[in-house]
Amino acid sequence: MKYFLICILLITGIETGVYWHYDSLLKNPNEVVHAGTSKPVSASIDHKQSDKGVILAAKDPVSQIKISENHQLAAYVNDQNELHIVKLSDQSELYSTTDTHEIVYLKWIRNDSLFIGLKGKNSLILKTFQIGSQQERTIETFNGVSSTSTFKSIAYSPYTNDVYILIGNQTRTKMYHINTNGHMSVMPLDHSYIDKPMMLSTKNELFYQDANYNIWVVADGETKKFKNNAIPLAVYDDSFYYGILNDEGRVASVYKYDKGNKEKVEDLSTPVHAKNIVVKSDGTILVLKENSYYNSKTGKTILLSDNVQTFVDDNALFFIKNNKTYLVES
Amino acid sequence: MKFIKFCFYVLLTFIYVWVSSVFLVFHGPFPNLKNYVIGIVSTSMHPQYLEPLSLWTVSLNETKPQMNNVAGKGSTIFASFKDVNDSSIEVKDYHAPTFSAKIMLVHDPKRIRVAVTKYKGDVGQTVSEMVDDAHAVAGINGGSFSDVAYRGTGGIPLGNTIQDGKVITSGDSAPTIGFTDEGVLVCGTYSQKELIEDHVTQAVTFGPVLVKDGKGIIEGDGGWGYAPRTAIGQREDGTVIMVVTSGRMVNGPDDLGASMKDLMNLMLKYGAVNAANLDGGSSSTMVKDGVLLNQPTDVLGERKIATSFVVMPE
Repeated sequence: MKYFLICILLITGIETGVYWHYDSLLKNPNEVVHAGTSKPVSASIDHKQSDKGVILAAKDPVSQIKISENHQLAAYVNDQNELHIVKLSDQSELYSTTDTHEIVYLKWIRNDSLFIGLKGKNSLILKTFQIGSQQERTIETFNGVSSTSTFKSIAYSPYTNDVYILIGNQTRTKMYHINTNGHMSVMPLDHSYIDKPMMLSTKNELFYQDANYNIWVVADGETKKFKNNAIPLAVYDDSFYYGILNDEGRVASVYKYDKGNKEKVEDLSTPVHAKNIVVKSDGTILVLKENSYYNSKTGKTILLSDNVQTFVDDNALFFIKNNKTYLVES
Repeated sequence: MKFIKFCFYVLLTFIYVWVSSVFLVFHGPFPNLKNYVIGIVSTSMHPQYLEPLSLWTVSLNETKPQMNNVAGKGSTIFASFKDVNDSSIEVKDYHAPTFSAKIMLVHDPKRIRVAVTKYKGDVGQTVSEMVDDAHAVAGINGGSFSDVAYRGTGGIPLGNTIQDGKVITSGDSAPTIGFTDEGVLVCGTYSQKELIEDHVTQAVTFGPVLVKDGKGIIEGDGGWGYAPRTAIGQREDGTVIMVVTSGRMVNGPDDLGASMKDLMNLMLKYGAVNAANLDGGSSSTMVKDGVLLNQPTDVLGERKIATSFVVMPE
């Protein structure tokens, strides 16, 4: 009881101190005007979209790379944990930095900002970085996470300003939601593990996949099963692309969901793993095979030379040549 | 047994913190903090939480936010800035205890134009996108738009919107902020007919009026809490004053935002003879020469909105 009373006194003291501090701040202040100038222009970004593939001549081996929506900028992390942001048209470096924490996640916000996920000891830190102004902002630090946890995915709508952050490991995940007022909350979901969250641009509809390859949709606070035996592939504006799996767990056909309608986009002649599929914004399907890739728009299969390595990441197709050069199609 | 006792004390502590906070904040010796908390909750998506938060000691009806002077009359200063030829733009930084601000001074008011999202009726655009599309050099966010449950896509401007003399939307006697064809800022309640009669060629809807004829007209703290704000004003020589403030603790725990009175004082400090508040919160954005000058509060950065005031090249 004695300790409890001491605790109460301590709390009252802290409360009074904090409230006094904020009350003083809110009194009519005697502000000081600092006549200064704006920060110098550090980067001018052309917002025009390019449909062509782009080349990044990275100086070092790259551990992860993301291309901006307009294909004009690349952000990559090298094996020294350095983040580089490069203008692809002339390969000029707009920004580079390193962090004491491991950079484990990158995602572009439109064409001018980045989500940067960092991993600390039992914590995950989410930051944003605005390219033009070079402003960095810590959005949230997730403490008490397991050592195997990481940022699995971030889905957002640039129109409704909903942001969904999926963190977790191979067995358990947790989804957080941030609204336009910056309020963050844990999303109550029926599944202890989910993957590939994707949301439509103008409707607050969120799709995700559970551990048993069912796609679910969350809309108006309700969660409904969208499709059995399927896997999310991509979202462009309000169109959601998903793959139907065969008995071996490979994508046999690609479908598009738009304005309440589901329509088949393509039957794949040879079913492939979802990690080898890219859906482009015009609905073209790229299928990566062992020594080639197939383009559904042209109907052609392009053979790749022996010294080229390939991989698909975040719905973009990358080619690695001579260990340093990256060609991109997305 | 020890565990149950521990849980009991934790629960008791929690209840004590809540009850003591209610009495200290809402009925204690901290009137400024009380107004701030009431302003924050009553202007949020869930104002109904104010009563339970205060243990039903504060009535929601009595504390409903008052947008004072929304229907304030238009300025009585009529002038012409047709002959102003100063093409310079200045940007200044300002720091106050609860917010920081960027102030852009555009000396030739005829360079100001309203930009409207090119996807009107569907979705909005960021200020940067509107500035780019208009081939402008700078801009700030503008007027009201449909924003149901803070999930508006920015595609539907509300009230009066006029761009280059063309009526985009009509709000009938709506609080309006605009410019005449001779660069004079008008702010107050106007009908579409009155705006056209007064040769207003650029206009959006928002409010309240902060400064009229050189005098601040906000009473108290303005009745709309503390938040990131955007405002536009004009000096007697025609210089347009654009202000964007921080808030919502983006820059730390003391970064609470600006009240309407703060904004009014800032406008007066920079010599405004007329000034009005524009859309704020996560919409507050200032861009110049392709660079975002402030830090919008939305995690995603610039919000997609319906209208902006942009500064055209000389």
